[in-house]
Amino acid sequence: MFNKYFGNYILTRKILTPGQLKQVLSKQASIRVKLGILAIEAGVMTSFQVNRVHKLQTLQDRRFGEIAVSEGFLTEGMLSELLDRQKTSQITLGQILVDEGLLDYGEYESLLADYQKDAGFSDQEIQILKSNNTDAIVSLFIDMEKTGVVKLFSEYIELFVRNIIRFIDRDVIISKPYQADTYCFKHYAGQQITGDHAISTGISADDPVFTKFASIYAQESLTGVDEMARDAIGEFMNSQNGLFVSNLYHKNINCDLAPQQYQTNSTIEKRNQLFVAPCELSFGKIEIVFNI
Amino acid sequence: MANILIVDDSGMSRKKLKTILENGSHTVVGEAQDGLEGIEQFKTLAPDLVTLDVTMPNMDGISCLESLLAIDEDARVVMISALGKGDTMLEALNLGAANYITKPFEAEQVLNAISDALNMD
Ligand SMILES: [Mg+2]
Repeated sequence: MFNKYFGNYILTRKILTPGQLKQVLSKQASIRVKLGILAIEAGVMTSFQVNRVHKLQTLQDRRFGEIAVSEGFLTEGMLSELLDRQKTSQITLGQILVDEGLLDYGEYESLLADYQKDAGFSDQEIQILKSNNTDAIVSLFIDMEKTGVVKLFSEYIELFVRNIIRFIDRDVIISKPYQADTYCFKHYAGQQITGDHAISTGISADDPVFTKFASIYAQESLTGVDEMARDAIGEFMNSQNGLFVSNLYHKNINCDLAPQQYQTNSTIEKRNQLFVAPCELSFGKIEIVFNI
Repeated sequence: MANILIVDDSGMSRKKLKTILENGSHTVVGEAQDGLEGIEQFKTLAPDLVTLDVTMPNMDGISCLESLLAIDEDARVVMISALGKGDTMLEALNLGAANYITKPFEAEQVLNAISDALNMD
């Protein structure tokens, strides 16, 4: 998942074209992640130290880790942690960029620092982003204190992103949610949660994205926002909310669902708090609305 | 195999269910979009089994289930709903539903639940 966020940043900075990025990412399969890359990402070695170890490796027949420890760049503890991480790590975009000669270690290190700074992440947060833990990543983007309704909203979006990954698109990127007094939409599939919490939920999107989303969920190719498209997204919401309400029930919060409804070209007014979570899919943007 | 009535407000879910049931050599004798339509079609079609959604406009699946069992106490009804919370499931089963499947459903799961319900005495 970090590859997607960082890849997005690389496109924004115009370091690669979308075509180049796609080509680079296709090389991901089964290359072992290099310890030097992991060390830079973990912030335990500088690019200068990594380059020094690589240089020494050309002179002596010793492993990266051994040299790094003997040069005093890593402790034994750090090394074994990195080796553990190497076993479970997906190849990172950074490594491919370096391997392909598109960046050197120093440029990668500073680009990573720029990304962290531009996105406003702390050291701990950037580690979460690299962890590939969907729930933790979603929670990271909801940078509000997770109490009361914000906690509920955060859980809702975590579940939503998991459902998107499961049924619609693995390449989902969530951005920071915002709050609004009113919300205007083109196409909107909504559903009311009733009972202990009263929440209006929904997905909004423009024509092509709404149609594509519906086509994927209905597993049939739809040509526009017709009855099947409206129905498919309504049923996606119904599944999402059915799971959400069941999860709440385990915490002794009892809610029910009203039938899902489709609306077009209209406006939603805030109840107490109206949250909107923009979500970038590989085929366009949707917004998740949570009005409580 | 069985003559089945599908009651669900979602056209997509009805279509998917119909395909699954027909591939399992059942016959879909009717499709209803809410509880009220479901009751009407149940009376006229006298199906062997009903698949019944819960969250629907006009009349929900729980009220519909009660009415179906009032019409025929031996009615075989399999609930198929996105709402998988304990109290709703228990309520349906206590009322007399044969089974309760949560959406999104898999073909095998649906066909197994239906053959269990048909073989129940
Ligand atoms: Mg329904």
